[in-house]
Amino acid sequence: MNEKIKLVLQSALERADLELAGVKLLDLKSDQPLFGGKGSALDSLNLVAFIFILEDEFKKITGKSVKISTQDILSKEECPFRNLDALGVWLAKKEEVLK
Amino acid sequence: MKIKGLSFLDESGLHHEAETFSLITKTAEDIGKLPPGIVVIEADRSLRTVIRFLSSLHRGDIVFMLPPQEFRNTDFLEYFRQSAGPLHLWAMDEKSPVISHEGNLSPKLQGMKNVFLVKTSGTSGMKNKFVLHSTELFLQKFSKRVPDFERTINFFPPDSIAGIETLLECMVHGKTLVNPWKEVEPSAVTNLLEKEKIDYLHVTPTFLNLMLLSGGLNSPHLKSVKMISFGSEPAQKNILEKIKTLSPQTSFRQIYGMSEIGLLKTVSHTDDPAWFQLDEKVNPWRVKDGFLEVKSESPMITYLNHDKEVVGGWFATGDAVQENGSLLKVVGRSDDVINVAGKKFHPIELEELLMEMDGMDDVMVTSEPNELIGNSVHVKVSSRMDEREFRMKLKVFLEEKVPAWMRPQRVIFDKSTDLSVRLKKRRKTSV
Repeated sequence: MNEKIKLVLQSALERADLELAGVKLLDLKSDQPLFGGKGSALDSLNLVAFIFILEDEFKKITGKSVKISTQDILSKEECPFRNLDALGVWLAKKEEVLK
Repeated sequence: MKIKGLSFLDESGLHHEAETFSLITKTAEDIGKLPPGIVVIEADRSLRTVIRFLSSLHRGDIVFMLPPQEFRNTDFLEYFRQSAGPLHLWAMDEKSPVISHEGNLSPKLQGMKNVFLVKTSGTSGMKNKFVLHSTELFLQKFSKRVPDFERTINFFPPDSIAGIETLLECMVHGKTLVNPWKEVEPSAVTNLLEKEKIDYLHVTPTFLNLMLLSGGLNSPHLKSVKMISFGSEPAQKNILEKIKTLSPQTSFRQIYGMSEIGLLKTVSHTDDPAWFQLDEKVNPWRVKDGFLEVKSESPMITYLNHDKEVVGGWFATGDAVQENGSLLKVVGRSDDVINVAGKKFHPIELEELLMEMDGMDDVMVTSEPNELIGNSVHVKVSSRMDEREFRMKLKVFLEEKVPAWMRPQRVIFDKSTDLSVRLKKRRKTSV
């Protein structure tokens, strides 16, 4: 994961903790379930809110616009939002494609 | 139509009844003979617009007022012409209407006299519905009412149903209409209230809140104001409570109305003016599947460009209402219901909750389709607090007071309130 994507994730987690009701992501370990698994940190309502934050921070830090669709989340064999490690890898690929 | 004239105050001073009466009759004569068509007036807030509108009605013309941006939009005019027929365009700088289009008058307008058109608000561009009204029905309606004011402000745009009703009501009863000749913004209206000793103010709830925030509703400004009416959009209980505290001597009234039925007479609940009662004898009403249907004294004749069946005089308003005995409260439109994971609510319900938070000056709730959860909830907030401090406070408030399915997915922090040209919240624009 490159430095920019690390920064995107870190900023998004900070904002999510500041803004989203019932959400605490900064303490989450990178392999713990973020969305979709048992005991995951985000339910579907908060996932949608987190995606808006992620899109904002991605634009702010990389200067590129990314639109994260439902297809991105649901149609993958392995959901990119399953944990922070997977999300970082997936975002880095997105950024690569946008280059 | 009997024209009495009205007193009209604008930048140039007070024009008394006799003067406006003479201007109306003289202008009506000056127009000369016109072939069948619709007189389209470029309308601003001046006495000239008022005189042109009233003199055209006096002649029995079919009249349509348009704000300059639409009057000068050739695509819009062409769209209207296709539904209406030949147009006589009366620009600000012309002495008489100019015949600019030929063709046949719409069958819906043939034989019509002394009628006017308004366009529905909400959607813009080429989706407006054109609503045809009989002037006589409005004059009959006002002649049956005893107005409880002497001087009022022409707050609503002159081409809107509320603007036209205010004008006609003043004219029927010889009252004074004060024209906000500068921008219609809180400080200008506040100054007029005090300077011109206005005793009746009719505005939108959003504008009332802006006046409240600007300090315009403190008692010195409201000394002469006996009644404040509000309408055009749902009112937030919290705002009305704050205003009642500041000005206990002022009465409040919810006005219920639409372009298609005009404004209906209501009595508001004393504790919560957002709840109102319609006069059953004048405006019979019923609630069907949560939506209000009503009969009006001034119903539209027809839409020019749209078919809608009005069975037995019942007009389906499309307004979702709550009922409490004979009291009603408008909670939203049929098309603004938000559906989050199967749970439905109206923007006003969340707005009322959020307005309870300390530091929240104003709030507007909208939604966007979302494949995952149905709709995502978007909130635009206005606050004088520091943004970071506000967001921390909002998070706690949401956790404690707002059900999970009503919590916003996106919060935009802004110092301004997004108002439409009709001076109400621009819900159609997503935040």
